[in-house]
Amino acid sequence: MKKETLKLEPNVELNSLEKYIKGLNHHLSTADLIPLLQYTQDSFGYLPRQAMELISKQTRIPMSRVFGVASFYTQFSFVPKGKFTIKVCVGTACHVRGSEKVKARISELLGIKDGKTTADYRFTLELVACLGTCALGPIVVIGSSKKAESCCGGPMKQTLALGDKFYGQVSPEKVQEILGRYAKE
Amino acid sequence: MGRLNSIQDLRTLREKLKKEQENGRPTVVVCGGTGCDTFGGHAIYEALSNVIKDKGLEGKVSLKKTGCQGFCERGPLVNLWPGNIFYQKVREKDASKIIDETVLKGKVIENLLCPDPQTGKPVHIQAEVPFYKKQLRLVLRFNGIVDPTRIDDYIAVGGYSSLEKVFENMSPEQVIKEVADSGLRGRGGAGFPTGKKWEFVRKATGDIKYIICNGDEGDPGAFMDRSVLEGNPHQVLEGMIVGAYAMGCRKGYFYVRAEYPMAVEHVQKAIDQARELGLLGQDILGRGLDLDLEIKKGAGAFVCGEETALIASIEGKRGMPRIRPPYPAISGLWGKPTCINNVETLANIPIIIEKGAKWYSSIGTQGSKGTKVFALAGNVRNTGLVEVPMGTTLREIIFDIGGGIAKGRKFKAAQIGGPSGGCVPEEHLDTPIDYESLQKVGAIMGSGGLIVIDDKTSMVEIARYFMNFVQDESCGKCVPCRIGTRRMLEILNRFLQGEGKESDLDLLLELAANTRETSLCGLGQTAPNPVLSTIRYFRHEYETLLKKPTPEAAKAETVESKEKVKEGIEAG
Repeated sequence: MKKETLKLEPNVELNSLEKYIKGLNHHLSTADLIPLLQYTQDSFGYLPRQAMELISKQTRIPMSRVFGVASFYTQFSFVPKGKFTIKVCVGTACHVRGSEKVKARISELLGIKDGKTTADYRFTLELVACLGTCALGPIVVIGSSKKAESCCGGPMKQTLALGDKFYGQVSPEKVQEILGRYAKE
Repeated sequence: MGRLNSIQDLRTLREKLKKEQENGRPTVVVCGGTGCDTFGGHAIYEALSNVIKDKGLEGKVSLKKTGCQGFCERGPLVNLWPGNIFYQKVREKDASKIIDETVLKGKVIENLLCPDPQTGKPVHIQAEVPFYKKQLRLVLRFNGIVDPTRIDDYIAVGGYSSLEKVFENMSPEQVIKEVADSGLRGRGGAGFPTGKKWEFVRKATGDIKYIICNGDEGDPGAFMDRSVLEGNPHQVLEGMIVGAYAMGCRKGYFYVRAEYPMAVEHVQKAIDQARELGLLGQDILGRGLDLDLEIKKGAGAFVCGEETALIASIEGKRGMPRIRPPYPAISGLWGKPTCINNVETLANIPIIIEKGAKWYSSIGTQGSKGTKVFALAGNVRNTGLVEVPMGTTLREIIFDIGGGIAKGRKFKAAQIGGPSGGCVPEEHLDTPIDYESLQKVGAIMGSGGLIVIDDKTSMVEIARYFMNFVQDESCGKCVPCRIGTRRMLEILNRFLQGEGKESDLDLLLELAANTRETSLCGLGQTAPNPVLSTIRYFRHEYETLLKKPTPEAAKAETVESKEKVKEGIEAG
């Protein structure tokens, strides 16, 4: 699993993360690392280096280990994601119903491979293994990758991607029309 | 609703809730599973709610949303009680008609009924629909009846009564004996006897013991655990409390995939509600049992379904497995005795306690007791969630319940057990589903993914698909898995590019054997299975690819897969 990192990073506002960590109000241990990274990923849409450094300092886990854990799990990204994340299901059921061709068509239209983001930061293309809606395969899910701004409340609420739009029985021919809906928004 | 301080309190509450529900009010039930929701289930729910409001029927007609009812292919599903009238493929515009005609006048709307595939006649009652007729729904018994976000609903149908039973009449040892006698085996795939596991944890020494519910359902094409957690989380919770009582655990975790937001939400609600009622926390029902539960969200790693990797992940480390022994039962989370059970395993516990080991063990075969839930998908007509007694044949599941192959194509193979499983060809379709029989034909029970493959799909491509998956998900800790899966993938790619060599088949078999024998954990040990089983039954497909590219038809196919492979290589 290769992961890209940013060479030059924009400054990020860490206040919300600091506040969140303070709000946890307990002695931080290694068990808090993954939940903290998940919170960061959900709030920023990726893991900014400064945020990981802050987590490392607060949890007293060396930066090397924070990075090691973050790079292991597919949920985490070190580069910002696009405004919309397109998830193409490549689970077995979707696979036998032709999800590869759908993915290829999206790749072609956006000019990016899976795991990548378009230059204008509008779309990120991701592959996922099974979304559990096999009856509708091939499935494409399009959602906003950054939810913290649009939805307040605890961290639990922010990560819930319930607002994601599911597209079922997608064929390569339908792709252009579906993407078109997001091109102007 | 206050805290329940005794078993009597719980009984009183149940009686009260039962009375409230037995008021004879007609109830409209909308399936809230992800499948039906995607088809527009939520919009139908809203529309029905509006109609009920507009007509001033609030308080006279109940409306609720339940978990997945399984028949995803025909969604969105709407059930009407009393009568269990079953509507399928319902649209938003049908809402007012359903209320006007069926609920108020008792008239059945024919074109919303499910037609019998044989006779074409509409079937009125859900239980009579062929898809449901051959099923035995125990784990899924309340999916489609209770609202998963309301503990009241679950208690009213008899939920948490197994807790009463164990607190009142059974010692922890008796509970473990009951579970052992039932013959229940782990539903996560390996099939380890649950009673034995519980006994190990009970006997292990430690100042604290943990119980973990493994909901890291990573098998692509499987969604059983998701539907149970979404549709009836309290049944799993109840199983965990009984387990905690039997083993002496004081802390527990729900490990749920982050890709399942609705499951996370429903489990969290279930925990909060149970805590509020005093079914979790300190001194549960005044019986001196302390247990608290917490959700841990998986961060996207297939290997975390392996128990030692899952523990590492909860501890905040990279999710890599370690050598066993010591088994988690002796030294698990934070070095303490830990019991890890699959979602479906835990959901079986309340049923066993309630109905008794004798009753439970009368279902199934000699070595495999009870039922198994399968996620039936792929090129099959009726996609969905099915629960059958052990010993049912694959043919019955695919053809009687699943309705056969979609689009009039021919059956080629059933892939069972996901990336760790194998393909079962037509000649073995009458294999009964149980742990041993499936192993004999080169597949495994697995967690319950069942993908039907039709005759236009290349089996070498299927093998490549799974190898690509495990190669990507291999954690990289041990060499045989990390390198072995990579090399096997390269060879499969060569085959599909038409560049395979005669010696490649033997090399593939040798690599498969080595990876299987020497890998650290189950992921590597079972990774070669899809390759081995496709070579075993579809060797000719590999051999045809070696002879390419001569025949015209084959050429076209190769070009397509070549493109796929190229993409695969570039992406990987």
